[in-house]
Amino acid sequence: MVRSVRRCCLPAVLLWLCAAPVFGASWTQPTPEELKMTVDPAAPDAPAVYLLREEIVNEAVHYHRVYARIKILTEKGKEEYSDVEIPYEKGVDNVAAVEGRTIHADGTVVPFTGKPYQKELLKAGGVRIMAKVFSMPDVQVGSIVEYRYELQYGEYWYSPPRWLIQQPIYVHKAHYQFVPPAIELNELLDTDAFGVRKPVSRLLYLADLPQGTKMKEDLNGYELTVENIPPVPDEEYSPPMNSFSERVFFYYAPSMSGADYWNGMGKEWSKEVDRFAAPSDTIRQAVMQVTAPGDSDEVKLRKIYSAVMGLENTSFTREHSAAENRAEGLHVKTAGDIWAQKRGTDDEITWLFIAMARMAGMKADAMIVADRDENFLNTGYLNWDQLEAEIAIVTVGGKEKYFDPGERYCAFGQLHWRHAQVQGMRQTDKGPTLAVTPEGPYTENRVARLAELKMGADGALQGVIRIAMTGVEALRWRQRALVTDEATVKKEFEDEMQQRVPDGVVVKMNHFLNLTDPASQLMAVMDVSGSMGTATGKHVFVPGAFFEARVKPPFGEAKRQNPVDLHYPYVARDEVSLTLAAGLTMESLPTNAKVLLKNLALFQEVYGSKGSEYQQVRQMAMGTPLYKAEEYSQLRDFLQAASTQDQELLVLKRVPVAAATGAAGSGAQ
Amino acid sequence: MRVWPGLAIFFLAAAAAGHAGTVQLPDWMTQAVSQAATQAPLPDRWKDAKALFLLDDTVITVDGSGRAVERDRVVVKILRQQGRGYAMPVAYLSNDRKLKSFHVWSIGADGHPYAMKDSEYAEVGVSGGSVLYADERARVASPPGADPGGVVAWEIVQEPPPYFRESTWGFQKEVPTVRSNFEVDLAPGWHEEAVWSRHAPVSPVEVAPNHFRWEETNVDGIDLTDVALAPAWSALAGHMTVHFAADPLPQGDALWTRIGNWYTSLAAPRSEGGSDLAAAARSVAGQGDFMARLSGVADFMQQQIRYVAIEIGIGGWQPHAAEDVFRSRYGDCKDKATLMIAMLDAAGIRATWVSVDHRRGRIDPKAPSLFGDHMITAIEIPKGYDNPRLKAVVTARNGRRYLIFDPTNTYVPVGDLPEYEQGGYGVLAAGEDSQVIQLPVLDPDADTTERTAKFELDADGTLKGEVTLTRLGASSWQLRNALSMESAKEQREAMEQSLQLDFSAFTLDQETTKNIRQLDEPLTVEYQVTARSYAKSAGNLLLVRPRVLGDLAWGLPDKPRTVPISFDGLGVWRDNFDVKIPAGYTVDDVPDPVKLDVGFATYTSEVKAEGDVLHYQRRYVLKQLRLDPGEYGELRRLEAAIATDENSAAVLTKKQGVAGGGSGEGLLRK
Repeated sequence: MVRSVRRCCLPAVLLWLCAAPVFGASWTQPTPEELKMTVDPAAPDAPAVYLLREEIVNEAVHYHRVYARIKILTEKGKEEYSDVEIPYEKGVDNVAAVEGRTIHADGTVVPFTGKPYQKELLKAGGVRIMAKVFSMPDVQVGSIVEYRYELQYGEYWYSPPRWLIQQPIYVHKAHYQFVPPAIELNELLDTDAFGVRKPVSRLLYLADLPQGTKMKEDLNGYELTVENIPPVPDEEYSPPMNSFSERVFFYYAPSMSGADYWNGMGKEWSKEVDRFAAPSDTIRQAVMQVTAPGDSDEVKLRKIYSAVMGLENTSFTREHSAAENRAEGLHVKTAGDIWAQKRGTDDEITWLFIAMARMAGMKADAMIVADRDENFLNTGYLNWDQLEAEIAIVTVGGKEKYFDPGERYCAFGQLHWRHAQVQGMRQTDKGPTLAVTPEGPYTENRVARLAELKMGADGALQGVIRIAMTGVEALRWRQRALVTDEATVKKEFEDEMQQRVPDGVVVKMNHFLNLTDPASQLMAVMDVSGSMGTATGKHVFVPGAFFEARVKPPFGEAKRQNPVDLHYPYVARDEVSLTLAAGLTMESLPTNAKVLLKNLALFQEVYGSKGSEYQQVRQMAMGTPLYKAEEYSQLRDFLQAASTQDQELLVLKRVPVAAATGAAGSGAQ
Repeated sequence: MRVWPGLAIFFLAAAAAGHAGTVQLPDWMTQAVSQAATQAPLPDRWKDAKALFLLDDTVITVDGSGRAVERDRVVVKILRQQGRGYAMPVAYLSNDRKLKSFHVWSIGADGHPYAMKDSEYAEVGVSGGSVLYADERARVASPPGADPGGVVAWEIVQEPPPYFRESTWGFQKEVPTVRSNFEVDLAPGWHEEAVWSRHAPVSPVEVAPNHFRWEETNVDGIDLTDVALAPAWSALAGHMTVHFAADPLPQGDALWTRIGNWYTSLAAPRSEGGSDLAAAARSVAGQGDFMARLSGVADFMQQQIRYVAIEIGIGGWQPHAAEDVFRSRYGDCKDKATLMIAMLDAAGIRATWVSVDHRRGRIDPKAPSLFGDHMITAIEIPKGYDNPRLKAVVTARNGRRYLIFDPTNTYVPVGDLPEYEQGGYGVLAAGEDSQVIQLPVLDPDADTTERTAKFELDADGTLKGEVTLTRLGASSWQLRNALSMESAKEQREAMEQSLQLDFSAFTLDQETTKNIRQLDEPLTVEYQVTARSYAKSAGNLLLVRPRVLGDLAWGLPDKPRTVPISFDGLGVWRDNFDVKIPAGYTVDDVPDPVKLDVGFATYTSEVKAEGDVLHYQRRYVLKQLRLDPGEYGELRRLEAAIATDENSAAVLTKKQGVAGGGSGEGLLRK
């Protein structure tokens, strides 16, 4: 969505010169407590804290003022909060009235007397993005850093504020104020995501406020004061925390209500989809070319899916410029163009799939969804940009099935995990409507690892590994091959496996099967050599779980604040057989184990022997990828229990060769 | 309106726009392409190359006033997807580096030619990280047709900064180069001196009066991707630096002296401090002996002066005035060195600059050049003075002893030297006494890491104990820095992540640290840990890994080694662990002791059972920073011994057997 709103179509000129005069308020006198503070009891671990953060935005006179008072508590705080960078667009904005000072713990004041440097960040296409930068003088641990500036912009620009209440560090107090434009809102024009210019209807805001906080609204505008705001927790495997942080985003909306907005934008989007995917001779011929008259709908759809999957997906290679397309006599206006030129972006290929499915006589709808790796859709925030990826819904045999043809090599009838269990806008017979995509079953994402190994009396190992993958794991490697190449992926796969197997074991990639065929399971075949096991005088100890010998569980931290998103459910099964040479016999096997995480996950490891052959079967099934923060300790315990089991050892005994022949099978359970 | 990154991506992506009409490709581009197509098959060793430099052609023209104009032409053929990165034209410009022209052409894999327009290029600032501001920018292009099989060419004409009297020809790159030319066209009467690094010297052809030309063909690339313990790439790649001047140029050491003299004259005026600075310097230095005064100033530099780089024009080389750095309490490496020199001078100690490179091996004593990326100090030690803290000492040609000190690294005490600088070379800028020096390599005993721990093992396999980690020496700066910069929560998380390498399930308690900023004292980290299921029961056995903590192996692959081996730094690592075994158990078997001396390192390890305690101790000493590729086999032999030792188990037995087995046999194949 457009973030600036022009009042009229006049070219933008440097009218900031006649904007509001700079401000010259006095500084805040620090309290003795602030000066002598060495650790903040409210945030004992913090590198620095905001004593005060203030953002005043006045759209009537076109400025944003920022004022910050930051207490530096550690070396890290000194490193991170002593330099200030204020980005702006040259010719549109002006940064003025930059002032600052550093106050030492003893109350000594060191004013900032320099001039900010003007740093170029980007110049392209007639736009020049700059930043004013400066470094605060003589900052020490214990100092208070205090600065303010004013970002002014032209009379014909409007830029409503986006207040991030939660900052990277603790905020003792923050004050925000917004004075809306002094004109009728319908004088403003907004350009939407589809390039349509519309008059503004309302000033709206998205507000995720701290509990018990209320924003003051009156004729003068909006005012908000908050206190004691903790930072956003930063933890691995978190869902996109940008969707959950406390913030207030103001924006000028073209619609009177949320329903009107989503309905209106949904119609514009749906119209564009239908225009792009409209029937044409090219599409008709394409469908005739890839399908046969007697094919069932399912077969037709599989053939169409396979055909569009064969096109170059430029989202994974390189987006071609309009010039290149022109040079090749190509233009991209419809699905037919995509078929003709044999390449397109992820969204274009999805729409081509929909066009061909429709041409083949099936009901095919488009859906645009949020990317679960980036954000969740908030329908209370009237911003279409929250929706990022196009997927397809096709009715086959009376049932709706979800497809992700824009994700090259995604299996037929599956969604990339980033597009599963997320909200979006979909087409229906009654018009576009909001909907949620399904999460596929864990059985869609399978990894089966098979090792057949032979071990000599000296520990020398020989064998072969076969790893079969479907679902997300197969997709990961196939897509990796798209952005690199097969040789690189073979090496990366080999490196990853080398990190899992026991010390001394050498794995060499032999070949992949079906690397470019998403209709088949991807298989990696690897050769095994080297040696395995640790010997003492009488014994040899061999890792009980070949494929997990050096893998560590993912969560080291004992405590957690955020929920956990492991991205996708899956099931992994290992089967290892190890045949021992004469001279070695099994003394004992690890104890079988089965661990459950409620009904959400299962781990099982079983060991056995048959003659001189050791067998290990391991199964890990994660039924769901999402866990609440309060479930973290159970999840961690579960994964640690599995990891502990994986570290169990098989104990072999050295015996004279003649004796070994007769002792095969000892230790069997 | 203000989503900068999005804009950046948009404009970079849009940088390849209209190309109407017939495209005229430059002759040098088409010739390079056709020559590569018609010449003999490419060497087999290049078969996996990501890209090829078909042509890399530089001509530098120097007029009678010394003003240079450099013209670079490059033609790159993309062979694999990852080769695209070598075909991204970029030209640097700044207030002192004028970009006169920048042109880009390409040929798609289908043979279609393209020529980009000026309006299609983008310009980006190149400062970042700790560089608050630099006037250098980069003009970049995203050429059409840049796919495997495609060719991208560009030409840059620029005026290098007027104060540079040298230019470096990097004919060896990460990917192979088919042909690389370098020409210097000097004004009548001017002189050149070429020096070669990592390559045998080659004489130029004088193609015209005072116009010299060098050429290299079929140069292998140096790809260090995934090479463990690799030296810096720039320490391996062949290159040549040509110096030019109106007066005859000296050679060898005399050329180094000329370079150091130039820098001395550039920097020395900036070290002249006023009375305020001198008074402050005397205050922090105190009245003690040489070492005491030096320590006072060094502590001030390390604790009070923040690293912030502001580089404008010659400011990339010339420091800010010491007075300004002192007043603002910030500066970059050369600013810090300059302020330190000024303060020491006020305290009666003479010091000067040493230009170094943090990538050991980059500065080649055989190839005098300005090249370096870091500035440190050389502090003159009074004749006859000695102090055991003075470790990083070099003696100059004139017999003066200098202590080498890096005030930018705020965690390596004066007397010591960061391990990444040890063994490298630098230019001692001391006027007419300037020379290239090798930075000292400190004895392994100067850098120690020691872990001691006492554990108790329960019969259920749980291990509990107290661990003390002690580090002393230059390389402890990383841990000191991390502990200083991290919050208690971050420290705990880092420790938990570290312990995950040794334990599957554990809890960490009572972590304390000592002497983080007391740089001459041992950095100490103490903690308690409880690891569930540490010992594994197998039948009537209990298996215990005596090497409870710490991993010294590098993960070296079983592949032929072609590049030298480079370690971060020398040192001594010691582990002493006691494990009290549970009542009722006896020690049945312990790993064999290890004693290995491979010349460049020694490793000893021993497990002993004494009563109900298992004692584990090991000592690893690394004595050499760099090994030849031929020593890789010995290094792998050492690593194998270490890995075996680290994974060895002691066997405890109980009189009564422990039943194994359980349910789940149905999963097994019949």
